[in-house]
Amino acid sequence: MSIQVYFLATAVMLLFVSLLVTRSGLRRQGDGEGYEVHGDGETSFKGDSLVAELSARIFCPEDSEFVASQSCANVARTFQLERRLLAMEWLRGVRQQVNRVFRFHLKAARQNPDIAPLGELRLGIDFLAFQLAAALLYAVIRVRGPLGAARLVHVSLGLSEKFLGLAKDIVPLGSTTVGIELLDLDRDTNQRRAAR
Amino acid sequence: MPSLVLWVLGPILECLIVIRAVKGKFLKEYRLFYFYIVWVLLRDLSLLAVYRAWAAGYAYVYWYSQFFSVLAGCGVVWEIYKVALANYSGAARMARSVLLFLFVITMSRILVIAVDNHKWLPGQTTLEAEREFRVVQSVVLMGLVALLAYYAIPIGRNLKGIMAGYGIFLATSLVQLTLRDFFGDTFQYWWQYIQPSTYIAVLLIWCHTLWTFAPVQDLSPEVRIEADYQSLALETRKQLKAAGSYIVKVIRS
Repeated sequence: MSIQVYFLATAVMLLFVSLLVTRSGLRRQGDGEGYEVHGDGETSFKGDSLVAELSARIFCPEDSEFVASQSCANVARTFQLERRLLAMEWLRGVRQQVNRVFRFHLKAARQNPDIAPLGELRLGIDFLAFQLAAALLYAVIRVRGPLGAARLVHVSLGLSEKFLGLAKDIVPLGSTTVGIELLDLDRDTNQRRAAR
Repeated sequence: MPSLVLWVLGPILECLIVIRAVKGKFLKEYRLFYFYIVWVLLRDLSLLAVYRAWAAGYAYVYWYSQFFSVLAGCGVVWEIYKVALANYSGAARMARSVLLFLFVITMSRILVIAVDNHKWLPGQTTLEAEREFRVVQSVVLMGLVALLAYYAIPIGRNLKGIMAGYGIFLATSLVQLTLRDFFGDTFQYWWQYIQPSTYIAVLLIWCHTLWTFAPVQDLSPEVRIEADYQSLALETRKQLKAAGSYIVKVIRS
């Protein structure tokens, strides 16, 4: 019976794919919109420091605490709601930028005869991982708000740093990209906090 | 009577598809697909003659000629790959690797079953054998469609029709072969109607989408890059990392 289910599942999947092809064609078929290239500037990720500083305010507890202390609960609630929407919009913007970068890559790679299938696969996994993480973060912001999301990121990154340190103690690693990134971020954050 | 109508309708539609291609002078654009259609047409007509002249041998002729149909079907999948990726050498290279992987995975299963079988067939019956080969085609076709979608390769109406029609044909064949295997002879009564009906539906899709020649038109602007693939991949990876770090940096500060 289990083998029959396997055949039927394959058939249903193929039927779904075929109907999708019949209904709307493949993704962004021939319309050029999906891979629209607006110029060099928009095919690279822009995360300039000024925007980063402003965006960081969304996830800071100071503003919320100030509003909560100076106004009634209703206003504080409205403020939280606005911040949540802002955070979601910010994240959506970042994802759109990344999507554009990746589409540019695919558009260039599909005509490049020197393409490396393994490298391409790894890149696809990286992109998928980014999208999954961003989707998870989006869901957390939606449910817990930007402050809850910031707390969760703090906790999870703190945990991963601890595990990384533990792993380094057990097995002396040459270099770990994630570790270096986190350390750099920490240094950056600490410097900004000290400046404040 | 209804089964006879379905039996006659099939060759008529197949003739119509071939005539339209000859008249529109695009038969050579999809050679393997039209070879498949002509083969199925000849087979249908021969089977009709065999049924009239030698009813007892019909089952043998049907199942053994069906193997060649499966092989010709592989040609259709190959044609989709060749035509769709003709101008996309990068995506074609990627497709070769992915499809070869899928092919080897699914075929190795068939080989293992065939080695265990004294008839050297991937199944106890020809029905089971055909189903196994249809699974290989299905998996490869799904992989190909996924790649075309991933790289947003533009496909014309003709190719879209061939893909959708053959995909529906494979899927319905798999369902019918599985049900026939599961229910046994009790399903035979239904099978004689369901199988030709679904095939007629597929032929109608092909008639509609291959009525005139509709070549692939890529309207999206070309991306011209000076850098090689390694630099491109490195840059994209850097951008992805930068985006991830940017999010964490903003949230943590």
